[in-house]
Amino acid sequence: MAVQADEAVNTDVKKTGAKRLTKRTLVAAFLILVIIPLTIYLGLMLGDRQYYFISMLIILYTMIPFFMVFEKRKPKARELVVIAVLCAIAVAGRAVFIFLPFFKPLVAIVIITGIAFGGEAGFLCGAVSGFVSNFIFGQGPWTPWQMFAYGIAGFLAGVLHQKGWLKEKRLPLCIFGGVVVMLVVGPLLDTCTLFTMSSMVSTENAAVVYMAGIPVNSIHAVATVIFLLLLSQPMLDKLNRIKLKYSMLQD
Amino acid sequence: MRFDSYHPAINFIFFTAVIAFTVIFRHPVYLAISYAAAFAYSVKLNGRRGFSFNLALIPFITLWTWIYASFTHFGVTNIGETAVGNMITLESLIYGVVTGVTAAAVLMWMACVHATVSSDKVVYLFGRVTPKLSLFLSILLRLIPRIKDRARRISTARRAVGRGTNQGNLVRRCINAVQLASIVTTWTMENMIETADSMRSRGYALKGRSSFSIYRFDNRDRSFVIMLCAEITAALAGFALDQTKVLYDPQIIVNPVTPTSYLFYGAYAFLNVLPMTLQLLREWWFKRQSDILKNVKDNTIQ
Repeated sequence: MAVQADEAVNTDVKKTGAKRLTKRTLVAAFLILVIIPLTIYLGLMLGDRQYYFISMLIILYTMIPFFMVFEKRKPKARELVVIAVLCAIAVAGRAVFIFLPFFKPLVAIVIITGIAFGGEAGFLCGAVSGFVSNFIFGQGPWTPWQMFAYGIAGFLAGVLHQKGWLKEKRLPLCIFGGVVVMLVVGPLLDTCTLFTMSSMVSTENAAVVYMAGIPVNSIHAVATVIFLLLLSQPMLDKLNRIKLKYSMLQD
Repeated sequence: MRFDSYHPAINFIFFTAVIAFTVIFRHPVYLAISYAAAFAYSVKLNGRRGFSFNLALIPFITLWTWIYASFTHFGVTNIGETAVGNMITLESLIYGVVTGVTAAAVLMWMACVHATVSSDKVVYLFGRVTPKLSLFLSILLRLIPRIKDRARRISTARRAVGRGTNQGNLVRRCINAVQLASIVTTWTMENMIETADSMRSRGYALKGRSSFSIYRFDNRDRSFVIMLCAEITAALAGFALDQTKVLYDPQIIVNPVTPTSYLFYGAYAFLNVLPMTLQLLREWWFKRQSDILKNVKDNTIQ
């Protein structure tokens, strides 16, 4: 009986899904075509070198469509709490490894969430974990950047998995984790450093910041690969079992 | 009466305005006001820890200025050469100080935010915009301490059977730690599924569900918000009248300081110290009251 009810809800969501997607696309288009150029223009008007402020605002805008999906999708209570548990584990993991700088399991858990519950859940888990863990580590101008970087890692994992390009196997996951941290998460966080620290963005400045970021990103990538190696299979087994047991299977 | 006893929206408006102004206004006087106010307020809120944090930022400002001045070379006033023969200019040196102080001021304001805006206030503010996300955040924030506690209990039990994270050789310890994580995950998940079912039974996702909050907007908040808006308007007026305008490249050009400028400086300073002044006034008032009470008591005893 319960299963039937859930299915009814599922089809309901699917029917209205198309309409909601267009609304989100509209908002995204509005943000990209109107708000972001306006912000850049205002930033230029405000005077010299407000990169730091403008970049932070743009990152915040970029996250709005992702959060809108979550708000409109009417997530089921069970799905909501399971994602919350994964976020909590990611945050607790970051807090447990507080003594090892940059060696954190956060991205690994976010990737696992993306694989298990799809790209949007992955983005949500990454962004919210970044935000909440900064209640422990300290909020700052880096918070939106971390939220966006971790979120994108989860989103990419979920989308590539849904497309069938990323298998639920240990090896592809580890490779994906390492690559995503080195090429996406790390450079995004370096960009934050670049905009925060240097008020003049030049090619040399950028080169210095990105080069300086490589060792840090390598540690981060190695940590992600190790944690994916250790955690991915048991965690995915657990999540699949939970999904099967409580009929949270996605089609 | 600390600033955190005000309505969360007021905390949010105040800190957003102050931090945005700190970042946008590059005028040395405005920056100095913001830096001094942030310094004083974070020491007031965080005590000795805040003081040492603020002091530790100063070497970073110096280091940053040095790096900045030796890598950027705009400006017309030459004051020296770096080791590789590039010139150091007064303009880039001063601009380095300005950006360093800005970053330090933002960090100190952030320390104040950390001390006054608790996570439940964030959840409340989010709840107005996106109720689902706010519910999610509140579940999450409650889960983290619960997970820590659960991990501690499991760890105690496993130590008793010789499977603690500090028992056995290195490999064994790692295996024990992974197993601990596994137990915590399974237990928490199964437990939270129950919570989810209970949420559903109590009408989660039904229309018209409202959220509980302990905040209300009273007259004290109203008067504060009027004051705050007036101050923000004054700061923006100063901005519109080019009072905050300053050029660093190629030469430092500051608008001439007129009597009106002092008015704007005063208004901006007042905005920056508003919460701290109210807290100090309130503390002074309470102290006076309790002294009076104490005197009355002593006299009656005699």
